[in-house]
Amino acid sequence: MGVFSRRFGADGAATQSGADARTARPGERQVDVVIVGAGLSGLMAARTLLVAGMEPLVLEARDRVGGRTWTRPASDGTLLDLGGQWIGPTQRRVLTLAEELDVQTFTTWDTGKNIKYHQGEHITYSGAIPTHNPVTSADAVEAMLTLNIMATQVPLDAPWTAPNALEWDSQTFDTWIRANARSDEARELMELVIQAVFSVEARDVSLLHVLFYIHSAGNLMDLVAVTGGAQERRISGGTQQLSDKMAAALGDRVILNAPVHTIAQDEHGVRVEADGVTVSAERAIIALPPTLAGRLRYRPALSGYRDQLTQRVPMGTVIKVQCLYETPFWRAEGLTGQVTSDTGAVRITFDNTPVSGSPGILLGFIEGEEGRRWGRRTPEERRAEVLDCLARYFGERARVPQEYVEISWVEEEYSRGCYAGFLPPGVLTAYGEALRAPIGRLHWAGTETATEWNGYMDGALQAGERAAQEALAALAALGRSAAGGMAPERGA
Amino acid sequence: MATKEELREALDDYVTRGQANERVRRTMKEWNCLMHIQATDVDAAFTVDIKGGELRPVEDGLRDTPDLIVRGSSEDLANIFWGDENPASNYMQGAIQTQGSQEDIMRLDAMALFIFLDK
Repeated sequence: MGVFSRRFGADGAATQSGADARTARPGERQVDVVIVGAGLSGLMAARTLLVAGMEPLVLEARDRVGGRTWTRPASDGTLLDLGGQWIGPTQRRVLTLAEELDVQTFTTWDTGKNIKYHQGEHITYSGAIPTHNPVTSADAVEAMLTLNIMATQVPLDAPWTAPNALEWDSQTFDTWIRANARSDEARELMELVIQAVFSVEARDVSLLHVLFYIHSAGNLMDLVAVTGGAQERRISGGTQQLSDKMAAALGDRVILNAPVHTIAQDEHGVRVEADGVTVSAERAIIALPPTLAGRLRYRPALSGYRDQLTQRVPMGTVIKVQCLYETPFWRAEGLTGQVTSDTGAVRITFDNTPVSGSPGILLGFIEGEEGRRWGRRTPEERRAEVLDCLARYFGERARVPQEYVEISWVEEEYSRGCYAGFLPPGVLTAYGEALRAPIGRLHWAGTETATEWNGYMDGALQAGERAAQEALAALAALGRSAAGGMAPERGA
Repeated sequence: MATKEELREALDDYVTRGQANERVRRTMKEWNCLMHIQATDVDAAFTVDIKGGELRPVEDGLRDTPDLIVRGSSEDLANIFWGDENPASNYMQGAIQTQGSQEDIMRLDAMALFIFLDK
């Protein structure tokens, strides 16, 4: 307690209101740990705390749980994942959670040939890497191998301590591929990889952050591959079930439509004020992307170091589009539905047909610069461009879907981008230490704080568990037993 | 199914192509790896020693403690070594099992692809 009173006691901002932060006023909820954000990370934190015998409460700004996972029905009732949707074979946390919650998974359609559209040319190929041009393919593989080996030198819990951290954090990924990819086509392929994985341009992101991200996933092939990689499996009925089922188990410990605006802490506890509800607790877990966490008001104000981190972690830019057809007609033509392209708004596609096989669904991503450009156009212009792209790749049948569904994650007030926060040059070495470091009674979750599968659903779960463990350790140090009461005095 | 002799012939050819491949020499130059290759359906096992990125001639049988173990059916292994099958294909992702450090597996994957692309 002394640490906090020394640190915060002089500020007085939280105590000027006349009550300490831990003491509940009439109408307030009082719990052990209050959690901000009911995405996968926040819900996992609450689940972990509840299992440990603590009383958590989750405050969610939206009218739903799930955060960046969101499942909605199309007009025919087909459930569409508008947000995160894939699970890879090494993502053991999300696989285990799905099993615990009795949520079924199925393999992503990956049978047939992929399409590569390059400079107006239409090429089909098998496997994860286009091999029609052996020289450029080998160039790309060489670049990927080099990145994989560099990535192994980046410590997952402290990337800023890598032997070459400063050199790698002083350049963008674009700088590196221009110097190291041996052909234009290999460079273009690597740019597309970054757009697909981060939903940013290669010039936006630090090389060190890319290497950390690769290592946190295993290797670059694990990130980009369908079979054997991060896109291998999907959830029958949609990924939001994971959050829905965790929330159901938490019951009234999840409050929706409660955007948090102020978090106050002092030597007695923490008080979180949201629209319509105030919660006092021993500890708070903020399970938001850093940039959204930075928009809350803290009393006392957070350190400049932490605030400057939150000023520097922008979100990726992606518009996810799904087109529904009567059947997945491309399958009959021997195609996987996967495209890599250098042209138009949609440069990456997948077959997103449900496990039943009907309706056929093509999924396209508008990412990075294309996302920024097309996000500012009208929905009609965007739709016409998307359908132009799909018709270019799959023929005129693709131009007439029975339904068109899109979501721009940048426009989501409580996400402000997807898939995750990314780090421009200079941030990880200068501010990386602030990503997870608790401040007083506040702990940080969200996939951006994960060391494994950072940026993914699996990373969100890891971060939630870790933040919950931090809070539990702090409560244990206060003498709180796992049963939720005060621990008996030693010898009593 | 391939015989032990056919597998040995394919592996010899593979090693020869690897030795001649400039990209393999460039990217693997600091790589040291003792590799065991085992067929799961016929009695065939070989040792390939890579020292400083240089592929040494194939040895019959399994020698010493390996850094990397590669297992698969004789036919799948022969398809890879002859360059008949793209090692990055989905089919091959499941057909060959590897055991070893992530870096050794990564390098082996890349070497296989360089040799395949250069055939």
